[in-house]
Amino acid sequence: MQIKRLLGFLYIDFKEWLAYKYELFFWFLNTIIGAFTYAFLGTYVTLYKKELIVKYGSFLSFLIVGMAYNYIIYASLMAPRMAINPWNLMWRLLIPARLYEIIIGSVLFRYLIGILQFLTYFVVAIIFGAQFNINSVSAFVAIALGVAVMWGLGMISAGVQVITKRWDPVTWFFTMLGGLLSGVWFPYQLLPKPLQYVSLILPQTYILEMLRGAMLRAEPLTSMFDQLIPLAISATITVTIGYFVYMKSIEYAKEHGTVGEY
Amino acid sequence: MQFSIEVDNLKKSYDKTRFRDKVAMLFGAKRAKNRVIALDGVTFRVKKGEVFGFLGPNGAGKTTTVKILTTILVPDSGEARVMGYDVVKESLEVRKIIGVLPEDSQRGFGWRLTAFENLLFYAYAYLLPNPRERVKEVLKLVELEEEHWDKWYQRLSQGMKQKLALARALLPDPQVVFLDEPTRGLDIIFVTKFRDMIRNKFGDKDKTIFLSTHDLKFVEETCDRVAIINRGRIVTIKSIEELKTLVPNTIKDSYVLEFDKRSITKLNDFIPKLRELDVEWYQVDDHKLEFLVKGGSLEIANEVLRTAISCGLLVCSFHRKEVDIEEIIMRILKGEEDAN
Repeated sequence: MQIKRLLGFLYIDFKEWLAYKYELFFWFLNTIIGAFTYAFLGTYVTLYKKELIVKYGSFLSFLIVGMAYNYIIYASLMAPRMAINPWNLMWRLLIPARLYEIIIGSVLFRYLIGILQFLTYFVVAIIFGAQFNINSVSAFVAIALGVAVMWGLGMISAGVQVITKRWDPVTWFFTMLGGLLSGVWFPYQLLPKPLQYVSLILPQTYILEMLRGAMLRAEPLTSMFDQLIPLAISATITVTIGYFVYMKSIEYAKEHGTVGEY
Repeated sequence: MQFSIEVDNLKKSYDKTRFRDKVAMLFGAKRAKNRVIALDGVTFRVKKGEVFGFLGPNGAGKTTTVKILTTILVPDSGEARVMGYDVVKESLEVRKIIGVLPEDSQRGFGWRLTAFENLLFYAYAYLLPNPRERVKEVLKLVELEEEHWDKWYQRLSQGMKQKLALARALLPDPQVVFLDEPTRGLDIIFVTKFRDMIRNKFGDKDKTIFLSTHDLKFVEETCDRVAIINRGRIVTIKSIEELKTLVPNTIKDSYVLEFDKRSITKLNDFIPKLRELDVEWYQVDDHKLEFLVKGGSLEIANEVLRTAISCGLLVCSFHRKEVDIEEIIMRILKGEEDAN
């Protein structure tokens, strides 16, 4: 992996991000307003709906972990598809770099922005009195596994899009179901029983459970095998399939002469 | 190594079967697959340090060949090597030593990045030492004025964008440069300079330049050899001089006499006399007479001129016809079509 090459990717993404001045301004504004909104919402629910959030300490803390998922882990699902779009693909493929370098370079900036957004929410939440009880090792493993699972799915999604050019069922499926059923905004246990079964087949549910265990209750890895094992298996499967699908889709595009099409 | 590019029996076809027919075939319907042959056994060699023109009508297979040589497309069969590296099996090595100016040259540029920033990214991506210095070097080489370096890409004129795309192709100091329609959008002054740059091979006599274009005048002025491709097959590979020898005598030994329109009525007196002057063939087009004399004789041609004047034609110019590269290629292609 060539750091200089990755810096090149970071450089253009950062510069392009800075170039949209109004959007940048509203990005900061949205982040700040969003952070305060969730902080306020979380504090309010903690006051009046205590029974919902006993397990998680406070609803605000619960929400902030949901934000961590949203900005860092969920970004992994979207990043490969957004970064390696057909408009750029041909030129990315002409660079004398290995495919994984191109993919990582293309998504790196989105992760940094995601982390920056999450940190803003995190700081504001602390100002509003949110309490975190973090086990760093568990949190790191939870984030790493979450990123891996979503990255794998994102690669499948990007691969599908290289062929179909527009239609992307993978992102659609996981965004639709994940947002509703995996427990980003409220505990999935509040869902009707049949829907909870659907929640349990979504990797996001395990990611969020593990992340909350690590960030709110400082649970060690040894007490999180219920999430750790399914996630490790999911990560292995999705990353392998994702990389394979993406490689095959590039091969397909190169064989059919559609690399530059969109 | 004698050759920069070696292409052997390259074949490529595209599946153009409609989506609904593919679906129908999945359910057992018998539909004919529609495959279009883009390359049908293309073979050629490009010498190291050569400027090689690649010509042909639209859909002849030029872009498909360029895409395969630049590793963007995989051939169905056959082999292609650039500086000895196989374009399929060693594509990474190939990409390290080539520079590409594609037909669709606006791709891969950030529209809200400046000209300089765009190139700086590629300098990083190619892991060039002193990236900023190299970017400045190539921007100066393509004569993009310094005042435009900090302009967003989308605010550059068409010609400036093309210069920037050329700069990108030259940025890694490639051993082989692929230029697909490079003069598009360039102003006439820069085209002249660009022609000189190509003749000088961008300051490196060992650089090989593969030039695919419709600008035949540009080809004539720059290329050492030319390959003509049609319907996925190489029709001929020759130097410009050799190409001219392929042209039938009716073209290359003819003379052109241009006269003032006011004297056009005098043609009635003049034309019958042509038969007495060993003129083998003639053609009148508006105020221009093109004719062929026996053996291409200059003396006979002068006699024709004297006769024209004596008949009252007001002669504006008189010259031996220049062999026109466009005409040569059109005739070669037409000959090939007739043979098929």
